[in-house]
Amino acid sequence: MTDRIHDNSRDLFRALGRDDQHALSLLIDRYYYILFVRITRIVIKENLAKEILNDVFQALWENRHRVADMEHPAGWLYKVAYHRCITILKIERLSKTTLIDDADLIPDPNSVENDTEYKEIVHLLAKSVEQLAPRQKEIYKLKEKGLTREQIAAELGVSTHTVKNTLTQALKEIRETFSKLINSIII
Amino acid sequence: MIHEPDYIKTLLRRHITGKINQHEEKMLLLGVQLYEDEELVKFIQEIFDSVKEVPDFFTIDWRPTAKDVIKSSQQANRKKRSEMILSIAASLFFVAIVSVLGWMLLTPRHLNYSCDHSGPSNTEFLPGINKCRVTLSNGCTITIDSSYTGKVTRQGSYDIRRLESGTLVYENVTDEIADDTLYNTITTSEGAQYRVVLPDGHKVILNAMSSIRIPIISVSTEMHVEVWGEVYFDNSGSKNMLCVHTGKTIFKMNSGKVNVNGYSDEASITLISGEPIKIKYEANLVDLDPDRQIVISDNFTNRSSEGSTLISDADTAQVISWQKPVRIYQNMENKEFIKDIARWYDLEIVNIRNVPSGTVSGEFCYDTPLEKILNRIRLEGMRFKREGKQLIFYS
Repeated sequence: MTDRIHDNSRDLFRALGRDDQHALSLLIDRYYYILFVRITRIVIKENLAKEILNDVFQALWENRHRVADMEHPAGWLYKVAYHRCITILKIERLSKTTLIDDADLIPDPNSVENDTEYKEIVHLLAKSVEQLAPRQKEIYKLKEKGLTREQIAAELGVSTHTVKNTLTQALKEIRETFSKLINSIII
Repeated sequence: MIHEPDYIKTLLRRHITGKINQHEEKMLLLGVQLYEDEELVKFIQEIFDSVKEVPDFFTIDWRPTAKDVIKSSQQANRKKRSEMILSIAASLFFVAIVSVLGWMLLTPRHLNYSCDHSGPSNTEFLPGINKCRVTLSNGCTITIDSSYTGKVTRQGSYDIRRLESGTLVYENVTDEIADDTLYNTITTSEGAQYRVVLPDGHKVILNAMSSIRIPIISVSTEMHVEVWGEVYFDNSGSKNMLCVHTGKTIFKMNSGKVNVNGYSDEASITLISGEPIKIKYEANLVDLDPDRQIVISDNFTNRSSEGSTLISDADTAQVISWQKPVRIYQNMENKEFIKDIARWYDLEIVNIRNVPSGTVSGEFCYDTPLEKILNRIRLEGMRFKREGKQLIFYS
């Protein structure tokens, strides 16, 4: 029976494209486990993973007509899941930095060394960001807060395309500056 | 350091496999800020593709239901629309009017997605080169196209796998022998061709609009297959006897290469190379030597042996010229490529871990001599030697 579900997954996606709700529940049966395992590996927290999984299937239902015609509908599902995970991961950082410091109670022989290294890196990163052009910095800061491209575009009144290009350039420059800074320290 | 993609990949891998320590975790969370989501998605995909077994650390007794998903989708939609109206109201008044008008104009199109998708939607014509249908023993039919890689399904003690090169193989996974013999039928449609490695190692190429019915067994000394259309058999790598039925004609081949063309009332069988074969049709028995072709008319009524024509010195190259479709590799991982070559040429790989990482792109005809391919991969910087059926790699 499981084989049957597997065999027909392409047909199921096509049926979904014809608004077949039964196809949706079969697809959920087919993919929820493998997606859930992957999501939990990235975001760790079970309740967050459930939320993401719900979002993924919701996105599948909302985009069903587009997905039905895709060459790799399952690949699309994975991509949506990973995207959501990354957003969470990026937002996590803001709340997690303090959490990790609390957990640092167990003394680690390397912790002092690591800690200074970490602080140094944070410092160098901030320095790299400072060297960006004003517009780049503005967009990067908004991105850091966890805003999506669309939200940034709306906030600044520019096109998402501009946001994307500016971000790509900004990230590239940050990495370059950071690389120069860190190398000068090591040498 | 975190500005290097490889470092981030390593951290992600450690994170996903649960081996990350606190310091690395912090680094990772810093690092992800330096990459675009698309890049990170790619990294994660790579990791999951390479990590075979992802250990699960809790059992799931929960799954979303289709009803909930659809309901929350509708709620989200409503929310989105109300948010939209709010934002519009907040903006300049005349812009708001224009937007609302625009929004109202756009909305019907948005709602119109219950249109029929079942109609002819063949807007793009896909070359069917690498497509076939497999009818399983239970009557289910699977269409194998490029959306499959790896295991397709299980039949008896065999896994059906689609290799990256498109070849379909039957791989023995257990020694258990099924009580009943299962039969699969592999069919190609118009414009398509397909390569299959049968359970006992015979290599088969199906031309368009052809099919072959095969038993999923390996133990018997004789394997009976039925073919329709045009099929090419290469029995050079297998010890077993292959018994081919087409129409009223039967022949057995031990080792050799045979092309069967049975599209019309006339069946033509050509022995490309190998040992002579005996062909039986009705009450007649004909010997066929290499480089010979026999054309058998199915509609002869008299008992004379006029029903068949023996053609000596058949143009064998012409006969198999339909097999132009080559094995095409596009950015295939070196290791996967080597495995594919090994399977096709019946080689054993020793020390596959010494194969350097990288990819291979190229086209090889079905009959490309092995040496030619080996020379080609030598150019790619792989170091190896061949000893009989072994391909030994060095670091």
